[in-house]
Amino acid sequence: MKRLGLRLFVVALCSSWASVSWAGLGDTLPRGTFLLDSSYIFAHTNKQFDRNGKSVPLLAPVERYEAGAGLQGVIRANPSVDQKIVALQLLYGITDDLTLAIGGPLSLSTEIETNLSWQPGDYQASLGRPYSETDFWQWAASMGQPKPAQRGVSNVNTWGDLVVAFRLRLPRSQWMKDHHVNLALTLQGALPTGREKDPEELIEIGMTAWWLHNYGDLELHLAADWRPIWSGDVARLTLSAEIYYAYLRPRTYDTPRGTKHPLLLTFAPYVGQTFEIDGGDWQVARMQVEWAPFIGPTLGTWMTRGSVEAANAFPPMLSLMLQYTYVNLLPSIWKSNYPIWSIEQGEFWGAGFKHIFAAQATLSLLRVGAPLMFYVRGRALDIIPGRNMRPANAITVGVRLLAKFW
Amino acid sequence: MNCHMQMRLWCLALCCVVVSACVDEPVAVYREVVHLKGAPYERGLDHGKRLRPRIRAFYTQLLDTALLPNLNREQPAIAGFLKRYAGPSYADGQFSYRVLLEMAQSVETQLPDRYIDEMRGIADGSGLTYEQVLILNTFPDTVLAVRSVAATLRLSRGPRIKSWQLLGWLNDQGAQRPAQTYSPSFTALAAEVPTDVRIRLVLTDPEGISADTVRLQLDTRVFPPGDPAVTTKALPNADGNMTDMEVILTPPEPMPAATVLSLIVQSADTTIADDPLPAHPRFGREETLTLSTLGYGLSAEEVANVGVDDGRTRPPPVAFALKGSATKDGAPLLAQHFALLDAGAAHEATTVFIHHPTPGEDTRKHAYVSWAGLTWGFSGMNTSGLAWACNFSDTLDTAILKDLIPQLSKLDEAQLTATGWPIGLAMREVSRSAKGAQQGVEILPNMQHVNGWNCLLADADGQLRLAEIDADAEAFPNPLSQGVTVVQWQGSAVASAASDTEDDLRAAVHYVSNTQDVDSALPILAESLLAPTGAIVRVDVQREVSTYFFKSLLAFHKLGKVLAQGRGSWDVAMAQQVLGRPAFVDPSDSMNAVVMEPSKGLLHNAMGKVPATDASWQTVDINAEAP
Repeated sequence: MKRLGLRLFVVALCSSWASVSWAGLGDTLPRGTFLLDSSYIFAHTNKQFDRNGKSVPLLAPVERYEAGAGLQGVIRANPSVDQKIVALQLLYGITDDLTLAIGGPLSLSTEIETNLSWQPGDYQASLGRPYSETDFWQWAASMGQPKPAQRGVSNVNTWGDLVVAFRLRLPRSQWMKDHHVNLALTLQGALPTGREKDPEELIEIGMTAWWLHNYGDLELHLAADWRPIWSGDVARLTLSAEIYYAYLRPRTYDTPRGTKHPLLLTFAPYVGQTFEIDGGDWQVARMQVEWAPFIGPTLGTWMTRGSVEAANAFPPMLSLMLQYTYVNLLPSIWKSNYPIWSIEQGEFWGAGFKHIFAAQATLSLLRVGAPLMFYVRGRALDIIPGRNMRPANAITVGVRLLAKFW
Repeated sequence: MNCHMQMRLWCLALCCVVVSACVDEPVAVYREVVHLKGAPYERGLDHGKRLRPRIRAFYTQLLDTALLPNLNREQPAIAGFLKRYAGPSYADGQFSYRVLLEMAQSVETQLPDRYIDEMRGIADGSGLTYEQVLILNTFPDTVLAVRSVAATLRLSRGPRIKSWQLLGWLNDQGAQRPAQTYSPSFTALAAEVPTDVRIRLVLTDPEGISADTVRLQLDTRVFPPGDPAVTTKALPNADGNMTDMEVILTPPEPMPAATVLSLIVQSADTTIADDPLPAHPRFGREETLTLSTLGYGLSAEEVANVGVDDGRTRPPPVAFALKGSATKDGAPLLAQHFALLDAGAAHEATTVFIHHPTPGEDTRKHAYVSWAGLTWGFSGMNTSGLAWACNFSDTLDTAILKDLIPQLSKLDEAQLTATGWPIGLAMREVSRSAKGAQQGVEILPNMQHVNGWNCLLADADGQLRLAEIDADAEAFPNPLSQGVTVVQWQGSAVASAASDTEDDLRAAVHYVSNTQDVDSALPILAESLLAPTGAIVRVDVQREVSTYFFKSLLAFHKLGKVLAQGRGSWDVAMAQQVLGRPAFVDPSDSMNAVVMEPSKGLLHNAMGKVPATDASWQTVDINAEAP
């Protein structure tokens, strides 16, 4: 049976767990300030864009032939992947210009529906009919290969790779101060805490940065914010831009030996006991517009020790954000003892790109004395087709809690 | 430093400036040319080391995850007769591996040390065990031979056509012609038939025929079970048991005049086979019967049983050899499109091996078109100008059944062995030593062969030979050593497209000369095997039992037509183009295509894709020095 299985094996999922971020793309926290950001993310994908930018199912149809008997039929799988994640981030302002962040995704579950279907093939003289789907899987079972499950649930309460980041706001010239321009560098790295998938399982994915394919193992960002319009101490409009490079380290994986799916996942004898994926890095450019349509009432509260003036510097009560991100994907390279297998695995992981659109609304209660911010965010990767990527659209609802101890 | 790394560093240096000009995406290479030198073990070792991952992939994908599990499905049928195979050592999925190994070891006893040493070298170089390499190098012959037995056992339990009759077809005296005993035929059963006849068949099966499974097809028109044009009636046999069924097809419209028509018949008995699953009725072989209608003008013997080209039939391997008046420049050509089993694997292992003799070695430099890990191929040539290509040819006259005969007295302990030569190694022997086609075919009868094969040989001097091989070396037909040019069967030229020249030969997967392939010992064997069960096994000649027979006829006659149309124009390009025509391409199991010019030492090959002719053609000059 042709290598049906591993195609599912490499269905990496892009969750919407964002890299460590907070208000503006180049903002830092005030010294001594903690920010706890907790969000629930629901991400869904059921397609991929191939090398020509065409939307195709996550698994290509597999034509099954029987020697001398023609086409048995066509196995079609249209997998649908739903991922539920809680993203936790804790940020701390070491100085006004340097912020430390640590965070990571906690998967509640990953649910994969295989949506297998069957297109009958040629009339089989030995059966007196074309193979039905039942016939085919009975035939496969007689050779030791069970039918893959219709639905698989994995990654229940499972951590992904944790991320540690530093953001440094660069010294500002007088011109930058006069024109409300900030520049910041962010360096972030992922810790290898995420769970890997069981290599013998078909309907499963892992929880590392590679599988989530949403943040790199090491990232270097340069961001700029420009706030040209103000109402008092509140910027009504923030224009941001960012470029960054994400490095994905090579990873070594155990090769499936076919202990559970002997006809689909027996690769170790020729691929080797392990294989390596040198994940393609990303070159990313991002633009963001944030508008504050409603600043809201401002109260002197316990947070500002009664000072209305101090509370005026808090974020507006409602802000709306639109963001566009272009990700240039360098090719991911599979390395094993068998180059043909490696190339086949990388078929949908060549050079490509993503167009990511996001929108967010944030409700901040800081101005009225509650150190809370609520937000809802949507992200779409298939408004403009990408290439060699799997678009995982996501919706996020989150809350931020701020605290300062001094 | 590769492009990937360069880009990574460049981007880091420029802090994320987007650069996308240089992307190195690897390209898979599926076809290799490998030159081998030295002593046999050294050649094998070099072969094994250089192609190590391909050999391991080929073995795993083709055998471990495709062929061996599939062959395990035959265990119930075989263990039903040979009790040894119901034993514990063949349980837990070990049946197919054990059987193939035991047969491979019996093949091994026939082989000279040079091939055994070469296989040991491949094993040491690739990391496979010697047993695995031995199986890899013997499985096509042994599996095909086992398949013939298993298919015969299976089909023997299904219905067959007992007789046929054309109702309304009168003899010269105006009386209805009587029913005729049915036998599969190379030619039409009847000629100059009125267009309004009804076709009456009597089918038979010890378990009775299921009317719900009777399916007829007259040319492209299908009459499924229950079609009002078909009536069925159960009939008693001579013993009074209701084992027979009369089937009458009344074509809804008169058949066209002056036309050749084929009827395809299929039916099952009243039992259900459910081990292994999927459960299905026990079907007999699809039979093709041909007739011509009034005005066609030829006798039945002059009308070939071509069958129906309805797109449902996958062509078997075909090969043809041309020379003289057939080719544009008179030079000989030998071409083949080979198909058997790709399993998503074989095309990744395609290799041309060129063996260079060591100084003083009594061997000709020779090449063959093959796969990683194999010591032979199904086509090849040597530097003396001999080219050859072999197609399998289903037969029950195999080494397996020959080896079973002495074990008849202890059937419970009987073991499947295959004492003989695999065709690939037999042809390597020919390549090593033969100067020409005639010498080549004279070597083959001195060997016992594991399975049936049709081999075409052509040499630089323009000799064309066809060897129709079965396990009986002595059973080769006389024309073999004289050069088959035109083979007659019941008065019809069936072996050559050119009945008036000796300049072309062709072969599919049926015998056209060796039509009495099964010798008299085999039916005795069958009776002994089945006496305890009371069943009847049709151990018979190829045309009676082979599931490839009718599809082979179809491809064979299509090829003959093409060869005749192109007579005098044939060259390499034309041969390559024809091999890629859908009529000769099995879309899923095509394995390689070759066109050889023996007078120039050029071996043109297309492989590495499925079908093979989707790949570009590559030329190997076997006279060239090794790089």
